[in-house]
Amino acid sequence: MFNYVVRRLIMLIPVLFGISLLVFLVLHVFTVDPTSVILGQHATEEKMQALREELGLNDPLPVQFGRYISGVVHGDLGRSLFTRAPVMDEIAARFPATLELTLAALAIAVIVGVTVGIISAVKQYSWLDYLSMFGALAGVSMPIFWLGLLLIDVFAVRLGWLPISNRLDPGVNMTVYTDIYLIDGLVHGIKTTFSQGFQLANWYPLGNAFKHLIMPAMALGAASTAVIARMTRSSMLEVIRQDYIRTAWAKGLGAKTVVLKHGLKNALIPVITVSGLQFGSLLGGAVLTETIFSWPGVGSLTFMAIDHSDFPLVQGTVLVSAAVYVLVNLIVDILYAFIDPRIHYS
Amino acid sequence: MSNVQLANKQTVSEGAHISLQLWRRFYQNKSAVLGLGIFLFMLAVAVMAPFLAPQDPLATDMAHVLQQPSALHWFGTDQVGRDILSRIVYGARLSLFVGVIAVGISLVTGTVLGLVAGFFGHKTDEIIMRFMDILLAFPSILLAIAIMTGLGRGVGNAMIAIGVVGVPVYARLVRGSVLTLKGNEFVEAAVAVGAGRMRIIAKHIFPNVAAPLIVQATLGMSTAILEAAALGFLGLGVQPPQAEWGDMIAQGRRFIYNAPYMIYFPGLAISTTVLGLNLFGDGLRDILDPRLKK
Repeated sequence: MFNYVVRRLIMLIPVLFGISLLVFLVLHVFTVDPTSVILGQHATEEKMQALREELGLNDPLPVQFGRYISGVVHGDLGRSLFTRAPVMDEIAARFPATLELTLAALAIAVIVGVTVGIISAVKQYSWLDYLSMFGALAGVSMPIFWLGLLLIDVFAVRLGWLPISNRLDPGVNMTVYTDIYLIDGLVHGIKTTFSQGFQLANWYPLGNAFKHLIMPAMALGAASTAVIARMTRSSMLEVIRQDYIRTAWAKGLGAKTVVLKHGLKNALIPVITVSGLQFGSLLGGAVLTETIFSWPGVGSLTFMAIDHSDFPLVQGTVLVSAAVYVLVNLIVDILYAFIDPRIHYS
Repeated sequence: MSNVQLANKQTVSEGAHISLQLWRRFYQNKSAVLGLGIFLFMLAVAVMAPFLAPQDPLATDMAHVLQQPSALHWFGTDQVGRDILSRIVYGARLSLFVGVIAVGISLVTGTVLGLVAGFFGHKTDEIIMRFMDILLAFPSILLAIAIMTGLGRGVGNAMIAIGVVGVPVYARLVRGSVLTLKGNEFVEAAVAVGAGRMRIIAKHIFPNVAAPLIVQATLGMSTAILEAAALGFLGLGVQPPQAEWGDMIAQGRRFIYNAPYMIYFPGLAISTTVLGLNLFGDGLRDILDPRLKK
């Protein structure tokens, strides 16, 4: 197992190198001259030439790539053309917000998806099954940004229940430890409860952070919910026809034990893979969701970077997202061995 | 009648029989028929857009901006008084066109790469598949965004970006099938009678990969339409004033408080088209490639 993990980690190196090379080529071979973005279209040729020299854009492409990859290895992704801040700092500052949003979306997707999938499989060919599966199909057919706007229209504009943007209401104060506001809000609540006794106000930041998170997480997680529900259903249907399930029924075990303990445990294995893979589409979807809900994460940073033609920033956000995606896939693969003892890695 | 003629006649009638059987099975699948119906409807709307659209989709009318849906403007008007229904009708042309071309790019490139990788194996296979792994290492919409940022905005580049993103799916699918088929007796027989590599690939292997490819292409088109809409929404796809569904939603977003219908109808158009393609694709898969039924 240890050898397998080490081998997989080593195999990541060429993949990450390939990702860096591809992003570099796409953005360096085809893009317009970044100097015109920095200096504007009316800058003199001399100024542009000087800046090109300063940024090393006159060097041959392999030299530029060498410089770039050496920077990547050292955690230096260049500077934003727009803010002039290091790209890595910009991404690091916004990453916790994206992590919180994607994890919340994944949690919704797994909880709702698995529940709906089980009910559908157990009640196969019932109206509940048809309704759930039609809902799942509709879920994968809806553009994420449209669903987000519909949620805003209903829950924010019409009902006024949920906030439309950002992570907290202005004026809500709490100490930030992790930058994941649900955790920070929880810590704030516990700490203030210990020092001041139980007051509803102590938990206000947590509640507020939660209220801000609901709609973006729902919009982002909808398509994944649908995928997981479909996967759980088909996996459960396959499992509940197995001999050992029939034996469990024959032994006179209750439906809850048969379905949840004997069936679900085995049916969940492919569901875990699919859930892990969903993480990638959630990272991609975050660009759209964060843009709609003004969520200050890496996704909205990517959108801003595209809007300002800030190539180093686009390059950095895409690179980091791909690297996270690859890492998550690796973790899912390794988790496999722990969950399913039938799988042996050598 | 010679034996050869008789055998040919039998093959033809067998082929017709299988087609009829497949059609019957498809026809019994109500959701697949509904999906095909929706897709054909959208296709008809796209083809007949100039006859169906009540007004010019680009004609502005500042005296009638942000009009609620009414008898005159069924889906209302936008911020410069353009008829939303007409824009949706014309938008169907663009969305389906982008979907078809993008899937075409993925399908052709992926199939060729998959056939070559699977058939030739060794180093060729290694190089092609490692490159596919790298493409798969990106969340698809992010890779499309990176390519678009590189190539520049516009509908043509959007098709290329979406097409490139889809290539690995087809390449892996075809390669997998080729590897399975390569060891079959009919391929060995073709080699034994001296058939060339290209002939074996084109005449013996490709026809056997066609069914899962058709299924994947149908489902891939729904993804392509969603991705095209997302690029349009981000302002990377079609440029104004052209009518594109994703861009229409992006425009409507600014008027969500006083004219929410601006986002309802284009979103409904995207969702309906994609739902139709998904239903149709699912049905096709059940008939043509039951192994993929998961």
